[in-house]
Amino acid sequence: MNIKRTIITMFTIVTTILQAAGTLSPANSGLKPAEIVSHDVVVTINNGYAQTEVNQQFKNINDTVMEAVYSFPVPQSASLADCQVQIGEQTMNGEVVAKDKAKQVYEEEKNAGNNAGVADKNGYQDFSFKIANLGPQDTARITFTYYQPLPVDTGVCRYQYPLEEGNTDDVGAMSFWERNDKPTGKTTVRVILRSAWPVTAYRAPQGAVASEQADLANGTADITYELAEGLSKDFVFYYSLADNLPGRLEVIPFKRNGEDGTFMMVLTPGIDLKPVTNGADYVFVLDNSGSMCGGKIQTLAKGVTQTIQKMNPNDRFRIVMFNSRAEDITRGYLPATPENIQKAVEKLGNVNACGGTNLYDGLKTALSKLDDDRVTSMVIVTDGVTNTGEVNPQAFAKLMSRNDIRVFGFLMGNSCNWPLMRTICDVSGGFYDAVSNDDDIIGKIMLAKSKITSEAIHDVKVSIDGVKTYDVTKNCVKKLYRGQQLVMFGRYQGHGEATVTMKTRLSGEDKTYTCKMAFPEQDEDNPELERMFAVAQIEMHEDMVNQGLENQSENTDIVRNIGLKYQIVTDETSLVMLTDEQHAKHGIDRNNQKRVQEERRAQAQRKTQPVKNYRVDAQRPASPAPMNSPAPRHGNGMFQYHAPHISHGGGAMDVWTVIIVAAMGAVAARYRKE
Amino acid sequence: MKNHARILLIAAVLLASAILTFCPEAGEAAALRPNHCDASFLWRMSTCHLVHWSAKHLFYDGICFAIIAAMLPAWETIACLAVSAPVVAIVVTHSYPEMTAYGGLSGVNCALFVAWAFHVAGYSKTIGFWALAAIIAKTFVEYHEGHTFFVTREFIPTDMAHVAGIATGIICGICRKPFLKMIDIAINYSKFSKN
Repeated sequence: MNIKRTIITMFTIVTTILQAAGTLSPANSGLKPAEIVSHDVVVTINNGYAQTEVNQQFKNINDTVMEAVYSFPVPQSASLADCQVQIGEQTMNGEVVAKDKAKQVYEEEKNAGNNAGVADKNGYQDFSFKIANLGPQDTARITFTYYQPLPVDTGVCRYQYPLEEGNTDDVGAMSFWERNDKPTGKTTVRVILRSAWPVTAYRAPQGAVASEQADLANGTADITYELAEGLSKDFVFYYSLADNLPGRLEVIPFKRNGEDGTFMMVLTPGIDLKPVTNGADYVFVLDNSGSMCGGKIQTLAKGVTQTIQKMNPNDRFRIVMFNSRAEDITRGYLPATPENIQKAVEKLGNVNACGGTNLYDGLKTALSKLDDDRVTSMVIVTDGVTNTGEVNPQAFAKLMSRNDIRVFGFLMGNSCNWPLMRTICDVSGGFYDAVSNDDDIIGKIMLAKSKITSEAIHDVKVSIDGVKTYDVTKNCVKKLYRGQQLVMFGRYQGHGEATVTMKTRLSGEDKTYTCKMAFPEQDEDNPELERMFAVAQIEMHEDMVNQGLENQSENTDIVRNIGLKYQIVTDETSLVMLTDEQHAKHGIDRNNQKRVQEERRAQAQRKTQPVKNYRVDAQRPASPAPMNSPAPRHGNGMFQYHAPHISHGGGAMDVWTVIIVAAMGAVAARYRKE
Repeated sequence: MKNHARILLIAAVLLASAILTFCPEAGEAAALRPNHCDASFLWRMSTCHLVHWSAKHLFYDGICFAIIAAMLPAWETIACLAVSAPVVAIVVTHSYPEMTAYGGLSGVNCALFVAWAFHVAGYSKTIGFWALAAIIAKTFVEYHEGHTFFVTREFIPTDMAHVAGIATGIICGICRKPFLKMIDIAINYSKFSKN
């Protein structure tokens, strides 16, 4: 209850300063922004990942030619794969090339007075699309597609189409363009849901249902929402899976014949983790930088007050506020006694929001005075980008790796520095989550609360034997929290049967789980996996740089090569949009065109087929077994989520049963003889 | 003749079990699939008991079956199997709807053991009572604890299969005497008609 209240407060502190993204604006001031005629989004959620196709029509209402800029917050782990611009009869398609080359080609075409487009990624903040020479009163249609993995958390899957922008000191200060975030036509989001598991419910808090067709028992739904708020608010969609689904291992493969394959492995542990019952320490690291001004800081103070008032008597709390510098307002850990609570309440009431964001100082202060004998959970809430004091990610990694604590990071808004939070959580074995202002706050709270107050699975290591795999991401994690899925990407050579082994430490005991599965020789149903694998690789290398394990120049080359090979927009590669003739003129290979065609073919084929279940442990599930022992062919072992005894599939007699039966039989036979 | 029938019955069950255990394709076709009920349920509810998940699983289930079946008259074994096999399968399907595959003789072994306890009670109420008490106590512990009394590795047995087995064994045991009486009456009537 106490934790719940804290998180409520934290989630409600972000309110009004955000601006809309996904809008089209003139690059040079003095011109009116383009009029958005329509904005339609089609989201296809298919077995663990989402494809988002955005289709926007806009009009240059000026009497002069304009260069339009379209910005869009980077969705977490998204791979921007395809972009098409249509102006009148002319269609321009995107090809990924090195960033420098894209810039050069775009400028050449712009200066020549031709239509052209370019899409860039600006770090973790946004994708920007530029369209050159949009004629007066011209109508243009821009279509782009991106893919992202969509893990399920405690049976609930969340999809966010980010539209709100800003929310950081830096970006908020830019106020760079005039905005026109209200389309003259409708703004619709169509969600096509295809789940291999039965769905119990779905909801989108911001959208009004325009049409819906659902067969939840079979995991399918097709819903169209109309967004009354236009492009000023995020669209968030949730769906929940049926209760008591088994813990499971799902592997989605993709392999062209004769080439190495790609796979996405999703592990849903079925362990029902116990609540932390002994007295625990909670340190709240709360942002009170300038962006928290107004009602937010009062709301934050009120929420923390309510939280500590509800703490268990054997818990202790500590509150560290940070802006340009950190301040431990409780002066160390305090037992949750009425007197201490009263003192903390008074101090919280006097906190003001001002200054920059010095997260490092906040963390450093919070990590001092830790008690080794108590479980410590750190709850970090920030709505900005760290911009004061230490900003080097390596310093954060070094700081966080020194202590064994449980870190829960909550990032508000769409422009927060989530790569930095990812590094913090990777090195400390923490969990982070992005939170939109338009989220279903109570639902998020319930999920976060169950993680914070439950035990974690430690030192998870997943290995695959039997088939050679490489470039596997996230196969070693420090902690896995209640309800959390482990999503891994990797490549494999050859095909055939493989054994997946997961080694963990749970409640101080080492445990090993194994499962047999088959990697196919050919499976071309999900070509999109390659792009998501590429993004996962880039994120892994980004983390390595942040942890000082790889240097920046080396990383630049790696990112560029991955971007070019898999045709995704990265910090080193851009998508240049040209006509077929322009592509030929600049000698640009049509690699993305081939890839997009392959993806479209597979998507069309999937539409005609029933949803495929990629569970690989259905017949031979991962179950607890000693090393070198054969994996059982049935049942669910630890992978049963709620009730581990539910899905075990067979009776069993053993040597003792045999002895008892035989002995009783012998006694009876002897008695009868006598 | 009576012994021949028993030996034949035991051999047939063990042979079929071995085939279904060591031939995975046949085992998949014969195992019960509680999470995917279709027309094949009609045969799977009988054949699933012969499917085992490992040689060890088959060994202990098989040896238990062989001992109990050797102690019971063949007709009682067959009658008990005929009743308990579908009952256990139905209970397992109903109790574990998410289970992907069920197999093993232990459910019907429980039924046979209880039927044997009633059979023994015909000449020693003490042994019959203790046999019945032992199997009920073992199953109660399994049900309460969520795992079997002895088996802790590889997989955890379905406790409800054992409960269903005991229940059908008790029904078979209770019906045994009236059934025998009816057989006697039928035989006597037949003799009387002939005379």
